[in-house]
Amino acid sequence: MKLSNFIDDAEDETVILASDNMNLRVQDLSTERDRFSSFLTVIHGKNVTLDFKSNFVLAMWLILLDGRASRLTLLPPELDNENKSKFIQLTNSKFILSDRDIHSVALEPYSVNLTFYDVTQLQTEEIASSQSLSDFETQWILLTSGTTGSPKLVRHTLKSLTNTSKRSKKMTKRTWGLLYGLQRIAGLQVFLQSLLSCNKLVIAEIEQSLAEKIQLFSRHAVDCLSATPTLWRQMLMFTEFPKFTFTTITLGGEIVDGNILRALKKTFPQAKIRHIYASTEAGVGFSVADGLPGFPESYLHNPISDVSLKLTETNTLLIRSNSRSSGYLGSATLDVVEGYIDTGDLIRIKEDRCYFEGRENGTINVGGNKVHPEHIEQVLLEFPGVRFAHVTAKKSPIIGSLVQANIVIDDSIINQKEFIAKLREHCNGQLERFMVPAFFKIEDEIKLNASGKICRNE
Amino acid sequence: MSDLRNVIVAIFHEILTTTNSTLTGELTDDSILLESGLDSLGFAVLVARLEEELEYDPFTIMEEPVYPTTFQEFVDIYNKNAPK
Repeated sequence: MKLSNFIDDAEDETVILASDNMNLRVQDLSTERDRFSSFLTVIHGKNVTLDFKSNFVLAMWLILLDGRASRLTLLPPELDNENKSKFIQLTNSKFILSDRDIHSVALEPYSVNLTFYDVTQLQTEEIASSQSLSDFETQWILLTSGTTGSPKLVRHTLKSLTNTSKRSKKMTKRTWGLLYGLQRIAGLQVFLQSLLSCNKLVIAEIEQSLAEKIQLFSRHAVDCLSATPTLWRQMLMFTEFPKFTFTTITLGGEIVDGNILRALKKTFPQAKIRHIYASTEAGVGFSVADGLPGFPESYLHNPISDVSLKLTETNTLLIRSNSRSSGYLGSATLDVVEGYIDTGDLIRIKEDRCYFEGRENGTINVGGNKVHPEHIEQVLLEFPGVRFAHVTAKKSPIIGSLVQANIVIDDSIINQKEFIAKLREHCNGQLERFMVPAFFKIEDEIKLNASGKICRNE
Repeated sequence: MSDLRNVIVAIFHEILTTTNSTLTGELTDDSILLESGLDSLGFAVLVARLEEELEYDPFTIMEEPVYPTTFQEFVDIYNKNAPK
């Protein structure tokens, strides 16, 4: 079973993918497949890396390539060249496909045995070359930052990725909106769910503003949407937003609180609201649709579908399911004990309910973006005058958490305000926006534990 | 009442500076928050900074969650939820 099989039963005129200025129908996909038939023969059975900027173009190529390439590695376009080179080598990729001209020079020395293709410049045929080659169970390689800062490659198959997606028996006409990037599991899940039921997927692109994306979705009457709590809160601040008539609302990627669930229920009373717990390693775990944050404690004792949940001694969540990846590519090993993956998410049980408390390793979730305190501390320590730095999360009802930098500075510094301004400037130059500390607290001292390490869990 | 508004305006500008954002047009009652120059991160910092200054956070206190669209609505939320 490959991706294109999902739409075998759909009528030719059915629109599968839609963007700002393009509609791709089932018959258009057949046409594209014929046009690129020679190229598809070339990559057949090979390992291909995909470096696409456009979600729409990537979506189409995923449908064309699944079942034909032996391995598809999805790299986010913003990934630095060093990591790109590393991953191309690690995945043993012979081809890189892109929707723009990317310079092979930048990827030396790994680009020696590599062939680059810009899909917008590919030669096409008038008539398809008829070659029936057998299908592969394509390996899907996704990027995750895992539990530490460095990105890792996670192995999946179409099977593990669609394990929890349900095929709508009634083939009800639904229209999904894609807000996420297609290279990550969140975006892929929406894409696969939509395709599985031959629904229309309205694809927003990275460079569009949220207002533009909402307008796009409105034009296409999107009625199914998946987003992080932060994005939902932001969208609710648009006057026109309550006019949507959602049938399906999904939340994920961050801890879902009661406030946002209540707000969504009130604004869209006819919608089915669920929050989904997933990670790149675990795949899609489980979903909760009872309108309350967290999940019932009973989930820990009774498997939900084929998903089993347990807690470790340190109260982190263990998950076992058929959705999980088959591990990392490279030297990193996925910690699997008796089939269970440790998600690293802390759970607190209160009155028959399990609540998510944050990450065991102290990773801060800023509006869906993972932030590693240690990395920020390093950047702070580089600045002259900073003696100690301890980065913590400051709770935010708007985006989950903000970054707070607690620092000890040289006694000789008199103008603290000016110092902070310069330190902030230094951070702006070194860190991504959501990683730059929103608050700076000057302390007299930073607590260390017996091993001389910063006390992180107070 | 206007004191509270002045405080909010002052801190709004402070956050614009610290998050390297630029004010689009002028800050009036009708200014659309998400089009004013602050994105969701900036907005979150604004709310957190106001909590430091005013010692309460209406977004945490609120029984019924409200999501303000304009600057006036934002200020109203702070007025309505001010501790007695």
